Amino acid sequence: MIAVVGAGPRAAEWALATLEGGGLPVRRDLPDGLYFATNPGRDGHYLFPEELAGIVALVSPTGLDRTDPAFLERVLLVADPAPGDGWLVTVHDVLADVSMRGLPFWSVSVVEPVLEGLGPWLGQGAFPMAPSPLPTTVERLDPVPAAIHAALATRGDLDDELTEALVARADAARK
Amino acid sequence: MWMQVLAAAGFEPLGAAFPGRWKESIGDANPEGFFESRFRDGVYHATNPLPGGIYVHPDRVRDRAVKVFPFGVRRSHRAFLDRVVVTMRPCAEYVRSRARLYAMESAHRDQELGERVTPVRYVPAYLEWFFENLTLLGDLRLRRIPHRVVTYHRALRKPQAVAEVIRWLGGDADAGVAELRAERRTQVGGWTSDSEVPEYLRHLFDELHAVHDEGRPIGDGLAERLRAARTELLPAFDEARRVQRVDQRRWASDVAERVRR
Repeated sequence: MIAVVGAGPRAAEWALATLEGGGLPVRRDLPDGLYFATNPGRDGHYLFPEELAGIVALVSPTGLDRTDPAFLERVLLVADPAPGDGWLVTVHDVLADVSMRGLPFWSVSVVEPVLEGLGPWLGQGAFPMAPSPLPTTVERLDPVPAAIHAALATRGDLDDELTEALVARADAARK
Repeated sequence: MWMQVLAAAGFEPLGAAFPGRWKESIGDANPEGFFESRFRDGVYHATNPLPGGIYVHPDRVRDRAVKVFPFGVRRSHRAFLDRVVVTMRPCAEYVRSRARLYAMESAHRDQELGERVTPVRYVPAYLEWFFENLTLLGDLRLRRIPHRVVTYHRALRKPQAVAEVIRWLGGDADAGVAELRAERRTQVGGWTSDSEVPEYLRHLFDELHAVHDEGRPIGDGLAERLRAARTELLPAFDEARRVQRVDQRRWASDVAERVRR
């Protein structure tokens, strides 16, 4: 399963529509993740990892945290920077989870969608779509969120200083 | 017993023999050690990462043995469940064992505090035994987790059964079997005359244990009676669990109050 987690208001649906348009099978019914309370589902059916191989599934940050790693082939974080630091909390939580659990990870931005390399990483060969970027608020971001967004959009590393800044902003936003 | 066997067979246990002060409080119930950790409640997002933030990665514990309670297995991420060894005791022995353990815990606590604290109203052990075993066996079948069932009695009676399981796990069967010592048994015997368990349930529970002890499949008739018993007992089990949760908070509060004095 390729878990897609959206950071920002339009991120998840943009990503699912884009990937679905690119021919990937998509599921929108697993936002709470896959763990003992959600799998088996209410009908008693248990989803096996192999049933979800290669399938793109929308998952909330909490759902990702709870999901059995046996299901997580890859994690795609999609950023839609917005006013306020709510999206940074999601970025922080997802980065913390994937780095701690060593999950294969990719990130894209809905306002600067760099998709080169994403298709092969998803196991789909060259990605067929080049979606239009959505209207942006990036230019109105503070330097720190703007730098974090730029790193996510280009799959650049968050250095120690930027990581510390992300942790501080996320902690402050949570309070 | 299985943790000692697995350790000898080459699978280092995750978890201490005597966590905290268990050696002093309930050590007599299991002199060789309990080997319990937070993972007894399952290896999943609520127990892993550890409180210090360290994540136990599944690839780093493939050759380790961990003790997990039946409901904990159900909660465990399958990424961690390479193989499961299920052990089962007769319900009557389990009931005695629980009563002894709780009495030891309670006595030790009272001794430490210098006065008696009303013990927790735990879920009746026979209900716990029934629902734990049913849940565990059902979960392993549903999720197709590789597993073997060896009852406690069969392990002592037929060490060869233990050796086969150790070989299935890829361990040192001779070293593991050498750890089997019948004298470790602390609870023997059948139902007591004052048991609160109705007779028809005693027969049912004994039959559930017997089919696993003898390595027989659960036939349709037994399966149907187990389903009926589950339906009948579930409301009482749920209510007992609710009462236990409430009473554990009361107990913790009582202890804290006495410690403050």
